[in-house]
Amino acid sequence: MKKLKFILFVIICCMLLITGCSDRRELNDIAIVLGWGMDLTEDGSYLASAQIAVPTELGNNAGGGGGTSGQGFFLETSKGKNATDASQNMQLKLSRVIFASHRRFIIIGEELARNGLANAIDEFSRNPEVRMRTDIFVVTGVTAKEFLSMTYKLEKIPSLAPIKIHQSVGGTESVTFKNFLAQAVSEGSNATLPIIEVVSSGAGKNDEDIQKKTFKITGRAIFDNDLKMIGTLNAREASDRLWINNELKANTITVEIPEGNGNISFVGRKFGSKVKPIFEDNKIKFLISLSGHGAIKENNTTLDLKNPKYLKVIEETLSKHIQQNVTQTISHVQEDFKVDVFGLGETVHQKYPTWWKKRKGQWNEEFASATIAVKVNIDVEEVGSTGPPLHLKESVIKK
Amino acid sequence: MSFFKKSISRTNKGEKLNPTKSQTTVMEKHKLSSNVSINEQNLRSQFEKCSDVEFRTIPINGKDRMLILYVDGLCDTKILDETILKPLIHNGIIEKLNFMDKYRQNLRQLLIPVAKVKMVTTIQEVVNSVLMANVAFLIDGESTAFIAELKGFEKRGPEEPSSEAVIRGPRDGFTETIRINTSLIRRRIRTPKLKIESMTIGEQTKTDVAILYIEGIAKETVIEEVQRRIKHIQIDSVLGSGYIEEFIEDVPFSPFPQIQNTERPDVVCAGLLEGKVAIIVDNTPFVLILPMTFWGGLQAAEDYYERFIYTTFVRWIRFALLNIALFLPSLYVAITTFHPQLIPTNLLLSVAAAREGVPFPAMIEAFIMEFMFEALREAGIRLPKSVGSAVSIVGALVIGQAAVEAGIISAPMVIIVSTTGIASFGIPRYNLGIAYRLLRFPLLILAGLLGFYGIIVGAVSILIHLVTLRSFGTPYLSPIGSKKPWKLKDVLIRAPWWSMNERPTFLVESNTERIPKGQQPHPERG
Amino acid sequence: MKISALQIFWIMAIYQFGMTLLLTQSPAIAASKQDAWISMAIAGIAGVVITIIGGKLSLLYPKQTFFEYCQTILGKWLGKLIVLPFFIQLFLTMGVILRQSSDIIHMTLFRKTPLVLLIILMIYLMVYLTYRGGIEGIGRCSEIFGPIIFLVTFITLMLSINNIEWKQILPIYADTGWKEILKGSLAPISFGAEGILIMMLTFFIQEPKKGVSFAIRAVGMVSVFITIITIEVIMVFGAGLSSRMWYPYFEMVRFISIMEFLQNIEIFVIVIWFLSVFIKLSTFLFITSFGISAFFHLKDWKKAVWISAIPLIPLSIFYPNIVSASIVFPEKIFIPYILPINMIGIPLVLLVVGTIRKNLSIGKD
Repeated sequence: MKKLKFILFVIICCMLLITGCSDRRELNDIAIVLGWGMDLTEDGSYLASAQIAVPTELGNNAGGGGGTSGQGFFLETSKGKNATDASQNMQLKLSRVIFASHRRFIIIGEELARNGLANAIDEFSRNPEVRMRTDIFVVTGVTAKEFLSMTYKLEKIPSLAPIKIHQSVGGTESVTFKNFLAQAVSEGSNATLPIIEVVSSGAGKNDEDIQKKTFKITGRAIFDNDLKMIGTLNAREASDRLWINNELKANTITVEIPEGNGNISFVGRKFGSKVKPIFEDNKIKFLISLSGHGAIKENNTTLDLKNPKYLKVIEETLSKHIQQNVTQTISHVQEDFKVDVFGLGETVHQKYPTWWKKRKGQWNEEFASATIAVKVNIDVEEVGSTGPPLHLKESVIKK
Repeated sequence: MSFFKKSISRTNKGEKLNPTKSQTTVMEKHKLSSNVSINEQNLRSQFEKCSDVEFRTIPINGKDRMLILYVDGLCDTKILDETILKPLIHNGIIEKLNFMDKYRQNLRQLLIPVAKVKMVTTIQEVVNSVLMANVAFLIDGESTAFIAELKGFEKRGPEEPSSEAVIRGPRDGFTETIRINTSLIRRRIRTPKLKIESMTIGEQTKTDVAILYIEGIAKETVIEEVQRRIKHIQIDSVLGSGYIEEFIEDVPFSPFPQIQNTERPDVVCAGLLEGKVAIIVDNTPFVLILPMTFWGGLQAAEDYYERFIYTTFVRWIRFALLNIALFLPSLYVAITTFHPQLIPTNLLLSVAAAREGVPFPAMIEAFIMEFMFEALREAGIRLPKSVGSAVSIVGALVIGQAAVEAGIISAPMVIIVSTTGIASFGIPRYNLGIAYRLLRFPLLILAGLLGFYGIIVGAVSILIHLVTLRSFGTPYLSPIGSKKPWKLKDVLIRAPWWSMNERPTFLVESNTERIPKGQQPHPERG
Repeated sequence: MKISALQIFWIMAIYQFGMTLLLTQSPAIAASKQDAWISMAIAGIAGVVITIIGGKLSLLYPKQTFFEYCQTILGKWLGKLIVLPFFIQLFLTMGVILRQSSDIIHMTLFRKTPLVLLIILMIYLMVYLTYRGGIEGIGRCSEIFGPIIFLVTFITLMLSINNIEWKQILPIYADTGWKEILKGSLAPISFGAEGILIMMLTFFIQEPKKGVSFAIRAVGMVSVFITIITIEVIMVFGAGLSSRMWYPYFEMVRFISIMEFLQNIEIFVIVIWFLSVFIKLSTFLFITSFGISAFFHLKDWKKAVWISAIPLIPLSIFYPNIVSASIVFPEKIFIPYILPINMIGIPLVLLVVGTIRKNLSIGKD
């Protein structure tokens, strides 16, 4: 028995030595992909581009000093029938194995988005190597490949920049891909993706610097039920949409106050949204109540904000302004795109499941013809550290 | 229980040993003759070429003689001179000893100042007694010898043990002398229930071994088992308690120590009062305590003298250190070579940048660094103290910095290995720390072959081993797994003294109450 | 070789938990959408009821092993015969579990390493524990693993709270009917019903009565846990996405990201999954080898450990792919045959006949 056990032990050890290790890959043998771009080429295949980290350029003291003047990344592209095929073709050009687990940024060329994403994005969730916690954007103006070849001053890896921008302007944290999938699956809402636009920075001394390209997050791409991009919302409309969906985290609104001959800026802190479906004559109506709490950060009017009367005026003007904007956004979507990007269908589904069961097939038509009323309530909780502007003469200030 | 079987098989083996033993014993058991010259001859032949054995003959009345026999250096010759030889000569007792019947009486009177006296009748007994630091008196016409205990060899006084220093707590430690050691314990536990059973082990060394326990607290079965296992030891020499330890432990091939050793009398006393059994071996300051439990290895003496909140905190730290010492290098290897997806992107990029250009695979790199660390540690212990610090400087500077700068070893690996090294010294019991240092290497291999899966397999194997391990019938992981887990007051926390009302129930069956309940201090609020 | 009531609590809790957690959510959500948690709750109640049946049955003759009291109740030949389906069940499920557990670990951690190696290492661990420790060792191990497993799960639930959109649980009981809900509960019931195995474990408990009540509580606790997890999974991903994933809970943990640093913690799920599967398989292996040794009158049950462990390798490699192990097997074999026969039918028959017999014998006295 003892001998037998020993033999078994030896066999297991041998098996370990022979078969183990086969998955072993040193860090210097993997190409860490941080950003991934997908474009549609003219012949109908996909052009994938990968932003791959260059570790030697990223370290501070690798190899005992030396400049880190080079870029922290390089771009590699290849064509293929789908993402995996393209990445397989890309591997033929790479000395290291493509490693996609840290790929948290995916950019889709506008051309591809307009032709439909349905056949292009399965790999992003099926491959067990990658995470669903990924940000996915549509780029307008340039192709995804061109976008990925741009550098960005603040981040050594430019792929990290759009994620951070998106978070700082009130987007949700790295959940765009999951939300996209959830909206696409749900019958009561339509999918959207944030848009990145490439613009010239406009800063700098000489022409070259001014012409230098940078990018900004400008709005939202709207997809129909076949996941084809049918239109865009601009930045303001996109944030209105987030507000209605109760996903807005930060927003700054600047509005003219006629009473004070100037404008004020309101920085929102907490946003709320309540969607109430109402049935009238078997027609569906919606009442959307939006609320916002925040502070005044800039006051270019002559109003003394210590006076509650003027505060009320400002709140009302703000509410009215926002109400107009949101109504306009909604009618823009209803008239031009006829798809429900506000998730109103889901609300009906949750509140009136029996009605929903019968009509969910025609939901987008119902949505396009529904009357949608918007009510906005803004609460100014803080006015900053001064009451009236400090630089104005006493006589000018309205008390 | 399996350990009974084992002890039976031991006896069978034991009887086959030493076939020539019976012959020699017959000769040595020779009775003493009444003639000193014959005795002297016999003894001299026994102690042939033993230059340290002194034979002193004193004529008594011309024809009769007295032989005084002792080992120089083991006996206190000053006392011998002052209390025995001087009176013998100066008080003229010798002249009065004309009649032999008075002789014995007189010698006895002389030996009154000596505390321990006995009479023996065989040569072998005389030889043994002399070797155990006694003085033998033989007289013509008597076939018995007087043995007076006049131990007076050089011995070390109790000093603070260097291996288990404390900030708060007693500073005495065991010495190489068994009597001093028992006295240190007896001074702390002043009850006749503290039993100290003595025996000698070792064909050549005849080392004194004492088994200590408190009657009524320690389990009878454990005491009997210890006695049985010790009695079955057949060995030529015992030069340290480790000799005994290896003969009586349950699973000799386990990396985990199943018997605790300590230099601190307070630790031994605490163990005895919890129902453990201690074994003191002469000539070594390390006392064995058994049964040992895993958690016992994480308890330092100081835990019970410091305030309990701080102690609890320290215990958590120790537990974390234990796991770091075991898993950190293998986790690093597994994550960097198998699962880089498991660390945040920025961390991965920094590690990747640091590893760029390192020629070795991560596992080999880890082995090289671990080897260097063990080498430094070993060199640090063996070298003289003044050189030891030089070694550590050279090690830190040359191995650490130069290797990283040369791009041979990556900086994160140096961090990992040194953290592991520090962590492994945070374990209070040195021998448990050794177990962890050893197990680190198989885990490293498993991690290098199978990544995280290998680590899980290794860790679960270790745990299965710990779960099935027993030390003298006590499960190694107890009190985890006792019937009342909410009573674990001395494992990951150290409860305040007034709430540790029971002795550990896995060691003590009867007489479990230690501290009467309801003593939590409630000072009246004035 | 006896275990305490607390140990049986943890054994039952662990072996009910791991498999149910990862393997039942997807089919349940696919069948009953956002009402899957109701299915889970129903399955939990069913599991508790079945465990009660098993417990009651074994308490009729707490001093006898399952094999012995089958013969006491049904006579020598029928009693021996009725044990056979359980051997079949144990071997089949052990094979499937080995395969499924290795599959998920292979999918998440490996690419090229052969699956057989993972299976063999798992078998090595099971044999090591069962051979060296027996049920006592299993009990001690689960006592250590149990709190870890449930604590880790609890922490993952807490960390997922930011990702919740609670509205996704709505509407309750509207899109689906009781038919769908019951259909959704079939998969979790088939795992919950394994609580029936308490009838083979009671013999090894020091205080059988207390032990059985602890075991029932364990099954109840697991059901509550699983229901809560299902609710949370649906709230994070919605019924639409989570029904299409193989392991929704696993994906939920992969989705956790706190402060951009506390992320990628799915490895902990792999660990608790591994531990719970390990305990479950070891328990099964122990039961099987003990049963085999009783069946063939072997003196030392430990020898039977080898006999029952070796066939597991072909039994687990046999399945051609993940689909046949995770979908075809439960649908074609477990739910139509093993569930009604082994887990409900035979125990009920035994319970009824046994109770009557006992009452009769008392009446005679």
